[in-house]
Amino acid sequence: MESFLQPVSVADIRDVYVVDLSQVGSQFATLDNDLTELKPTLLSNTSGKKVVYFVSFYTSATQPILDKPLERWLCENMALEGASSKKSKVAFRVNFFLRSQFHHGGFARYLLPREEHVFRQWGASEVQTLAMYDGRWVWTRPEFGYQCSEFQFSSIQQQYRDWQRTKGSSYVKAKNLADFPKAFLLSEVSSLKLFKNLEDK
Amino acid sequence: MNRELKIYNRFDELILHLKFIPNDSLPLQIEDGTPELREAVRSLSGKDFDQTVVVEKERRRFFAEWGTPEYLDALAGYWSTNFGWQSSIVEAAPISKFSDAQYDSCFPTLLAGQYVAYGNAHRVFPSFGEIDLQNSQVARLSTVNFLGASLDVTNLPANLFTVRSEPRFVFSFQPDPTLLKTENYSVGFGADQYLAQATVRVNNPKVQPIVNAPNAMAA
Repeated sequence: MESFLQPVSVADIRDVYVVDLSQVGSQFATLDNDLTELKPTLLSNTSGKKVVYFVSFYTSATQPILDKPLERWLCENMALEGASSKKSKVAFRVNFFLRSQFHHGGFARYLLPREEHVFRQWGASEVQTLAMYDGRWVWTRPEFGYQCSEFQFSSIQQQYRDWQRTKGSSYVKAKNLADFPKAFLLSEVSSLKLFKNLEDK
Repeated sequence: MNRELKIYNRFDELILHLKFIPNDSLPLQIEDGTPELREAVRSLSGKDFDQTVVVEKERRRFFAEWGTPEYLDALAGYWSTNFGWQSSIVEAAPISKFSDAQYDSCFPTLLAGQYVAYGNAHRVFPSFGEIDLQNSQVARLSTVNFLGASLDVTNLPANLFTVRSEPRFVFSFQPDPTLLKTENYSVGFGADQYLAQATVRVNNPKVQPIVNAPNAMAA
């Protein structure tokens, strides 16, 4: 496990999820960092190895912060979304389901850059995620910096065009992901794969 | 084997017509499509297709290597699952394999005291194209020809007609068993000069004319 993660370590990953409570909303005041659990596992298959890890956060009263543990993969040999036919190290965000009472507390805005710092140190070329449910709207907001492939964007654009037609609106082309309205994304697109290039920064 | 994919939006409008041509440097050819989907397909050039869609907590992965016939299936699966678009895939055998073609169905039906034979074709020959009638359009068969030798249409019953329902080309006629035997035919539809090719086989002309599927083509 440690050799796979080099030059970072399990301890570095654990540190990502130690939350500075002054940096997040007041609803996290009872979050107890001592109760945070990190469960990493090294897996391998024919296409390479990956570390899968789960993180659980709790309040001091042992109430979970997340609906299910946060799940991340660190894959050593995965196709890049931003570069054709190229494989490299990729960090994949599998899920992040915050319980409703903890919404709008800046938790994602706090954690995600910290994750990306470690992903970049590990050598990941991209971070990817499959946006579903509310994530179709949340993760396509500009502050998270995700983009999608040209193929997906053009396909969604077609759906957007038809959706506007059903509303009796004249066609307005979206210039980027953030231009798609919330009502459209949540009703007309089942899910979308997003990525962020980590090599640029 | 050549394959074709057609994608329809919520208004049942054709928004993409794509041809897969094996062993070609450009295996995906855009026959028709909206600017958005033309752009989407162009962006895939040279890339394996690998998309996952989540529908009602179920993850469905659509994967195909670039240049394989399954690429069209992956595309169709992704678009229909993620956006609810309708799709049809038509397989086309090379013309040299015409006589070996397999057909969806062929069955005789007794209608008004006469046997009427139907054939459903699902193959399109790459050298011709496909009859592309819009919803519920009906094209009347105006000519019937033996391949290589014309047949006077007036010698056939007057109620020859064809109807096409995507993705199948369906035709029916009341054949004269003395005329219709195992032969290849080409047919035309009015002034549009569409052509179709049919192998008609009459196993027992007095009882059961069977039409083996026509292979829809447009000149």
